[in-house]
Amino acid sequence: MLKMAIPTGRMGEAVIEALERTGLDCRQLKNGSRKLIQDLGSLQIIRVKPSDVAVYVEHGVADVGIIGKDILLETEPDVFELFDLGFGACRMSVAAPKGYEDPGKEILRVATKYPHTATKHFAAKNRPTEIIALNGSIEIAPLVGLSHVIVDIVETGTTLRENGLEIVEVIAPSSARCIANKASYQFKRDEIDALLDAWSEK
Amino acid sequence: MNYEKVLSREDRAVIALRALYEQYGYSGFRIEKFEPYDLYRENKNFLTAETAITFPDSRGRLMALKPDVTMSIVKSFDPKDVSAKWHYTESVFRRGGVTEEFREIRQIGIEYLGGEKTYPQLEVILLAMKSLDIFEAEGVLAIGHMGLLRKVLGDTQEHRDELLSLLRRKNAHDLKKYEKGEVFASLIELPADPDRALDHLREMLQAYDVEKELHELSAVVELMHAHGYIKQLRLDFSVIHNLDYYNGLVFQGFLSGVPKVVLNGGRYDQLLEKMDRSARAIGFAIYLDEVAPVLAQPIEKIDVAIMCRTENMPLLFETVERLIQEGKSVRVCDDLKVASRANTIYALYDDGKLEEVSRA
Repeated sequence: MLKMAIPTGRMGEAVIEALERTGLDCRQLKNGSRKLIQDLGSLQIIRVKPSDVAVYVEHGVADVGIIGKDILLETEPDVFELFDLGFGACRMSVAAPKGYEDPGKEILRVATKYPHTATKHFAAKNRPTEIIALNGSIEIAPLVGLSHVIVDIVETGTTLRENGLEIVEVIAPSSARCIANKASYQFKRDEIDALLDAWSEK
Repeated sequence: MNYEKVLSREDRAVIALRALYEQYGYSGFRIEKFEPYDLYRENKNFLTAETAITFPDSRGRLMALKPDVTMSIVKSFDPKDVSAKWHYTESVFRRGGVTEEFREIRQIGIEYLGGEKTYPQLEVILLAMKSLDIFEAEGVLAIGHMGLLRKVLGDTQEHRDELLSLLRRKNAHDLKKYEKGEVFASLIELPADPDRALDHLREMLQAYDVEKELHELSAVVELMHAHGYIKQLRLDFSVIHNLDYYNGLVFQGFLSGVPKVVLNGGRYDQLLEKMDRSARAIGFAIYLDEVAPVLAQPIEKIDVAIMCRTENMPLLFETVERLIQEGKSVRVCDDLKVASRANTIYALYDDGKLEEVSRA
């Protein structure tokens, strides 16, 4: 049986819809049950926090998982990234208050939930930065003077606009990706390929 | 005495592996735990992202807790020798992981330095496959080729790291956005069957001068057919080692039930060149700690626990000796919680009588 880690929350709902489109009976996933492990015949579903999906897959507890590219960029797990499911599309971006200009000689203060991604992005440009790691409401940071800019995922841009911010630069596009444990892929390739084939045909 | 009984499954596997390597003419290699860091500094990229643990010695020289075996073996190799074949069972020490902790990594492996063009690398790959077999779990050996990848990459340095990183992750969807992306994507979308994979490669790489590399891969496929291992072989170009050191066949081994790579190896002539020893070189290491899940065994119980109800020590020792002579393992203890880990619990009294104690 193939074990799949899927994220709780909005992306998890989209994954369940995508699984249904392959003909899988997912009713027991949709009845509001709080069971975290559920068997759907050929597939066992493990529901975990979005940022933990790759951990379960990397350690082989799950053979495959569905995860946002933003989290893959941030955590760089040692897994295969086999398929772009397309949904959950957003852009990992640098954003700042409207009319922002780089403060030049100053160290750039960057507030973000993605410290690794932000560090890598600015290091590649040789721009000295101070990374300020936050856990939520990142948009506040430049408004209250905590940071010059933020690095965050932007879906529609509504939150940014409502807070007087705009995208300065797109670091990378993100969407839901199917990842696989490297060893599981060697031993369960037929099952994994069948799932991906069903998705790519839809 | 029954020595067999005290060997763990891991001990047995290690002995079986050493015996295998000695059958093929490899000799044991022993390495000091500490070496001057200079040896590693010049080629520290040969190690993975994890770094060496260093400290100064009494004369102020910077020393390293051995982070790698291969470099020590290469250092000992005199290129005037025609060839050298070594096997080793050693720990290496590195700093790594999420919390940068110190780690001891136990390895067993072989290195074949020098020698002819074809035989050594085929022998080493066959031994990698045979090594996986020793663990009595389904094994897979995935083989790539750094020389072939280098030729497909061409001279371009631009995007090289990104392309390699995408290949390593089998990320065909993002690869296709790059120039030549279709060719790269096809390298990681090969069929599982090695014969069909070879056909695909020949077809796709017609525009590249990779005849020699394809020939090497096809020799491996032929060898695995001949030895009945073909079902366990995959041609897989997501197996990528450092381009600065590895130049030919590279491979990784997997065991069913183990989530990580258990065996890593490849052809690394370029490391020898960088260490001023121009010769061919190929080898592999098996990570004993990663293999642990397939070697797990129940904790062996002690046969007999004796709870001593006498002050007569000669009597106690005589009783213990007698039970050992009968082939039993014995533990003397007065704590029922400890004693209850044994299969049988006895109390020993002044008259030498052994009385079974209830666990309740």
